[in-house]
Amino acid sequence: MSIFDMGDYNFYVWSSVFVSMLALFLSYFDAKKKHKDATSTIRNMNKPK
Amino acid sequence: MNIYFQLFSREIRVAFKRWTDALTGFILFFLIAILFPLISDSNKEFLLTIVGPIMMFSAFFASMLSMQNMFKPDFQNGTIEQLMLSKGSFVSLILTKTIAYWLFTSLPLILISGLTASIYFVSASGILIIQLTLLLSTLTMVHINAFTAAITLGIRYPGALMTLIITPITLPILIFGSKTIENSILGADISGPLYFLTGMMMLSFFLGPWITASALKISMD
Amino acid sequence: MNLKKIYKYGSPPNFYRFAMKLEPWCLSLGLFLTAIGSIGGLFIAPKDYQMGDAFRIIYFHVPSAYLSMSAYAAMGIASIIGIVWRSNVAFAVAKSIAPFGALMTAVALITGMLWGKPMWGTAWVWDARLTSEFILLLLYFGYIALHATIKEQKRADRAASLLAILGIVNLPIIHYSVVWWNTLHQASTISKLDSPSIVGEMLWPLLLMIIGYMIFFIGVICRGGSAEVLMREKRSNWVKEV
Repeated sequence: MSIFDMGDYNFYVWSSVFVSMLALFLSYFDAKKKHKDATSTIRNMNKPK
Repeated sequence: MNIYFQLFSREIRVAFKRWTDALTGFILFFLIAILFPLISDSNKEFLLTIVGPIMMFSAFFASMLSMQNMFKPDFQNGTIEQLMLSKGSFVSLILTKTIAYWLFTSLPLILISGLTASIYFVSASGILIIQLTLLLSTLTMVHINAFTAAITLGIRYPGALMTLIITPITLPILIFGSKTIENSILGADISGPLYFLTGMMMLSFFLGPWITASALKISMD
Repeated sequence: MNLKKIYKYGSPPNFYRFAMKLEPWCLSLGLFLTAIGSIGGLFIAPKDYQMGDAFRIIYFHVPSAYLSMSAYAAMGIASIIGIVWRSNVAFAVAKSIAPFGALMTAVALITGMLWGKPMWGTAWVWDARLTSEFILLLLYFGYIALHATIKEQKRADRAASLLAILGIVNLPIIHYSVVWWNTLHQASTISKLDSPSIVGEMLWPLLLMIIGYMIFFIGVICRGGSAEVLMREKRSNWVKEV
């Protein structure tokens, strides 16, 4: 019995893991993108001086 | 006291001029309530289980219909700024406006609900409970409508946003309202959900005008 | 703690520098704790005698649900601070919490459904706790929608904050719903006053997950909040040096 096998509940447990990790990474990359957008906007504002 | 009475009578006169708004809500409520027994299999048990949610749901929708007209025309012709600068307390003036709004949009619903509920084979005492529940819940819902209208004041086409904002706040009222009606029909104890409804109504009377006034102040700058 | 020190961080440039420095620590520590907690919960903790392996979903369901509520509470408090003290930093933090909180609420609902389907045969039931958590999701959506719809930044901040403050009422309803009503959802296993009703070997991964999620949350807010502060302070001098 592989340690990764959760028996009858295999699908449910692993999809929960997947959804949770997906949410964590999505939020991180969303925050990163917002920051990148903000800095690039400010850089564009300040360049043609 | 004079200024509140003046505002109140002005609201009533304006509402009479825009009677089509109130009529639309009224007709919507009436239609939904009538159509359900007609289009579903109309045996008594089914209708009795469904009358609670339908009454609450149609009251909710009917009160949402003329929500935009609570503040938008007054905002456009500058009345709200006048109210803010006037002698009376802004919060109490909002309360007056809300009560006038309730009188015109929800009171007709409550009166006609007796007739519509009888289509669902509800007994006479059941009709009284339904009217009481609608009274309490519509009084709460008008405050929430006022807040939503105030907070979305400057936005063009706020329809979807208003629905999104108003739904989570109104959901508990709808749930407890239909629970009360359901309990009264089953003969179970209605005091639990009824006390909750009354509590929410009191809370909304205290908080509602204040938070609507804050929303209006934010939307006005 | 010196009160003056806290006021110092209320100013945008100090907040920005502090948050950007804090962020990598929080993110890595948070991910680290979450990883250990996941491994502990998925592989090391023993099987529950009633639920078998399905109970392991608790290690993902509880942290996200707990975080969905604490994130909203933080958003509400930040909104109050923003309105009362007219603080741009507070509004920025509140706005950056919203997408994360909404995501956590959605994860809580989804993992709850994935747990409920094999356990009680139904993915959803309209009991008090699930309904109020769903209401929380809608409150988050309304907050985000208000920010997106109102074009003027200051007005959007204050209007959305008002909505957030109104929604705080929902939080005690969610938390105490399992106490006040008979719901399908089970009662709390961890409470502040009693000893937990869950055994030690199963408890430690859960605590690690909750703490790991919270620290990760702080890390994400550091970066998101900094981005928001930048957008609000576009025209000031300290931003040009960044």
